[in-house]
Amino acid sequence: MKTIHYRLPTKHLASLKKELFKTFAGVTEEATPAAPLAIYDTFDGGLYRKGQTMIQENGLLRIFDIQSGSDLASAAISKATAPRFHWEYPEGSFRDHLSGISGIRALLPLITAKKTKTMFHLLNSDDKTVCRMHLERFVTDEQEAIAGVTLSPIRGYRKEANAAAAILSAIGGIRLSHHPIVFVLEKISPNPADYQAKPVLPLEPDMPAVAAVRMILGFLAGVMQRNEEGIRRDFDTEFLHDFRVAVRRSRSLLTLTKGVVSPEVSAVLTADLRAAGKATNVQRDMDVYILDQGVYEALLPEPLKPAIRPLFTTLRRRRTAALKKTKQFLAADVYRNLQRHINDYAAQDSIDPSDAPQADAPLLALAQKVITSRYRKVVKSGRRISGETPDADIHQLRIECKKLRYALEFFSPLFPPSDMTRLIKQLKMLQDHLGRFNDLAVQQEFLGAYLDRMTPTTAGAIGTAAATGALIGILHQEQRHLRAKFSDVFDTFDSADNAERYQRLTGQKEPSK
Amino acid sequence: VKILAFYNMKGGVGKTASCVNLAYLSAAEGRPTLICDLDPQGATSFYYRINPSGSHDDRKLLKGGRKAAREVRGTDFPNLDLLPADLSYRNLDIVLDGKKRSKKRLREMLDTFTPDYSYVFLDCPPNLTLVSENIFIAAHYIWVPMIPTVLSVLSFKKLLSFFKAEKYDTRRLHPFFSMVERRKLIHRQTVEEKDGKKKRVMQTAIPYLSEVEKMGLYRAPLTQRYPNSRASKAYHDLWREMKALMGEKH
Repeated sequence: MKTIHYRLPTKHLASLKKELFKTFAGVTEEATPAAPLAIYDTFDGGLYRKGQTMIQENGLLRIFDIQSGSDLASAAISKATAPRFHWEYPEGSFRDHLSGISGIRALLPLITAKKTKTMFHLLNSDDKTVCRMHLERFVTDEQEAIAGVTLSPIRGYRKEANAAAAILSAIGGIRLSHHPIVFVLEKISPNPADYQAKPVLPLEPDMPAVAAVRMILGFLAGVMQRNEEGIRRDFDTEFLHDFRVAVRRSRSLLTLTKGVVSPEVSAVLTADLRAAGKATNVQRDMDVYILDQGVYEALLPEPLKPAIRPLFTTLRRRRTAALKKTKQFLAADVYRNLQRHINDYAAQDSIDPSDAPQADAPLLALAQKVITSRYRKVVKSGRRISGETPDADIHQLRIECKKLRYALEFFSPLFPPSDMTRLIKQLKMLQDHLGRFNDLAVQQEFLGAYLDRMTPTTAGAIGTAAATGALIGILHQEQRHLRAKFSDVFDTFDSADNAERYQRLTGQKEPSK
Repeated sequence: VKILAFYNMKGGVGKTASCVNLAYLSAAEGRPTLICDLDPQGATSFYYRINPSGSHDDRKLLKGGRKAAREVRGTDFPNLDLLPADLSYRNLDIVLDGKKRSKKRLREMLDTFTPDYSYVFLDCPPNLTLVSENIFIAAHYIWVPMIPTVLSVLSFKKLLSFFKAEKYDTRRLHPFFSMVERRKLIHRQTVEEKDGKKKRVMQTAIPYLSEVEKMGLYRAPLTQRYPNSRASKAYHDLWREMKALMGEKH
């Protein structure tokens, strides 16, 4: 028999013991005094989405399976607050478990509570324990009380466990399919469980296009707003990343749905969104380099590994300055106005004026038109690429792919999920290749510029220059390799099968080869 | 899973005490452990405060694991379960006699529900019968507690020759001294005599201590209730030595 969890109305706690004594020959209890407890997760609820949570209590960190109520991993902790990143934990099974879930995201304390724990041993006339009951009472900082009982039957004593279960039901206990800690998790606000960076909205095929655009823009402004605090407090790099993706998606949406929003509104929003991108570019660039420090070091031969470190010291310094700029932007009028404009626009429900001819076009027709035209553009630019094509054209193809990707994602609620998953997966393969190619070009340029500004005189600086030069060489090699493989990757995307899938989706004829 | 029998033809040699205390140590190390109390007297069950249910009988035990598994009880300690004894085991020999493959029944029964456990401890009745032969076939290790007396050593020799005659593997027999009274000359001599040869006897001897006797009063393993006592220390040493012999890491 497995353990059974119950939620108990707190007012009935007193009668529990009385009832137990009525039924069992003996009851012994071990009470643990109230102790503080903190619950951690990543901002996007990485643990929660896997049915887990991280609890800190009594100098111990535990990763806890919410359904069964058992520990999946645990580690001792001496500090008051748990380390943010998995790589800051001592090596071992706890860290291994965490790294698979939190990745580059920070673990943040989301709620604290006080917990009192009482273990009841229910005895028979031989003083043998025949069942155990684990009573936990949580009081959150907001003074909300939650009580739960975990019943642990003992093998061979089913009748006694049933008797204990009957007592719990009689005093108003509600049987749960998970540990009562979920009721504490539910009190977390804002709740990581409902954070979503990608818009998945209830779009209808025949709704006016402008209503969908408003809905998506409003959602994306919400994503930006929700990430502000994490950016300001610099918890981890993904707050800014999600913020910037929401900015790019918003811009892209306005471009893709030209004619749906009046040019006047669109121009104002686009200008502010562009400013948001520009103000945060440097910080994001620095984040990407710094996150990859280990990768860069791994590329270099042993003697050059330490020589590259001064480069990262410089990058970290630049990042600190960039973060200050980002924070200034978040407080500035441009951004506050952007939020206000989008929210005002999203709240309207009138059809736009005469200069937005597509505003009341049915959404499905518009979506099909947009996806077809984007798909054709990708195919056309891709087919033009040969061994002699300049890198800039490949960069252009990457942009076209991004637009197609956003279009697919915006409108995916209108189409069969299986088709969309397939199309996005196909496109993603091409995008990954192009993205990596572009990263390599940008990195070489960046390292080249860093090298240009150096006038190395000390032995250390000469070493750093040498390591930087070596990196440029390695990155260049990899870029050439990717270039050689481009046509294979593109052909997979530009297949007859894939063309047919787009055709089925949009009802449009495929472009001929 | 490893099946460990605690066996001696003679009664009152500390067989049950060893089984109760060593099984607790195994479980306390986090290894899922099961004790099968095959002795109709049910002393092991008594020490763990477990009574058999009324419907439990020998035919059920032999019908196969699933029926027997229903009788398994959780003890008061983590990782430690017990299949309680039943008075009707007295007739086990008679029942076995009428069965085909009568020497392998216990092994077949254990096979069906032992995958859940690292160790199965068998507390065996003191006799040399068809039940004992079932135990000899089922167990990977047969631990034989002996009081260091001439008589006890003789009875071990008898067991050895029985094994040889029946072509059982004598390498599975592992005697150890128990209830050793250091003050009594004869005990000491016998121990030392055996120590000198050191062939099969375990290094660790369990001393005779009143703490062990008192287990019947507090009804719990001594190794749990008085973990720092001299007797507990001896059981710890013996368990460590047994694990080494069985090729387990400490």
